[in-house]
Amino acid sequence: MTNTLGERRAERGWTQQELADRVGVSRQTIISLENGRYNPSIVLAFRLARTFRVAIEDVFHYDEGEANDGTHR
Amino acid sequence: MEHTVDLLGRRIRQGWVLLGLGALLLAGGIALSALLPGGPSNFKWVEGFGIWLLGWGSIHQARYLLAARDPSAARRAINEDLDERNIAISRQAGHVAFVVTILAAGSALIVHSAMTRGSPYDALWWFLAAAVVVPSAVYVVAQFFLRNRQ
Repeated sequence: MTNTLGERRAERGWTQQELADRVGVSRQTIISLENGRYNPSIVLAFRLARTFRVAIEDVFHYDEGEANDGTHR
Repeated sequence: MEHTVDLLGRRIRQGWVLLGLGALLLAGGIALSALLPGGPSNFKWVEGFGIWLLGWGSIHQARYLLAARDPSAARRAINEDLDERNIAISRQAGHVAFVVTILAAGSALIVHSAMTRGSPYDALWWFLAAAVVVPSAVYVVAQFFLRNRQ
């Protein structure tokens, strides 16, 4: 799964800590999400998308061929 | 904000409980050693457990009492506690620790059985057997209930 979190955050001029505070997670989780090392739960994915006021598909992209081996890569 | 204040208050109360239990065990261990010199057991483990709880409680309290002074720090401390990635990592670490504990207890049981030439009629053998069987049974039962709940 890929995402556009970093780009969307940069567009708004938010720091990773500011985004973390807005969605109620740690800054380290935002770093892991942006680096693609961690795939969020569906609830967190919705919270992030709503924070940016876009649809979830506009932030997270799932590649069909991707193996589903849990939330961690 | 109210949610954060409630959770922070609960964490601080938990910290006081840890410190209180630690102090109680440390004092109890010292008292037992003094009252029962050469008694049936060495009570240093009670003192050690108390010191461990005091250390844990001190770190816990330092973190949450400092966070309580600043609303944004309080919110970040609670966010870290409730962070789904942190929770997932803790669960994975707990699972690894569980497997290692079962393997260690099982190995100790095998070694003890070999050293006592297979005689299962001593307290340590039963204790080690329980240390393997009880957590394994809890694991199976917990799996059953959790699978039915979700």
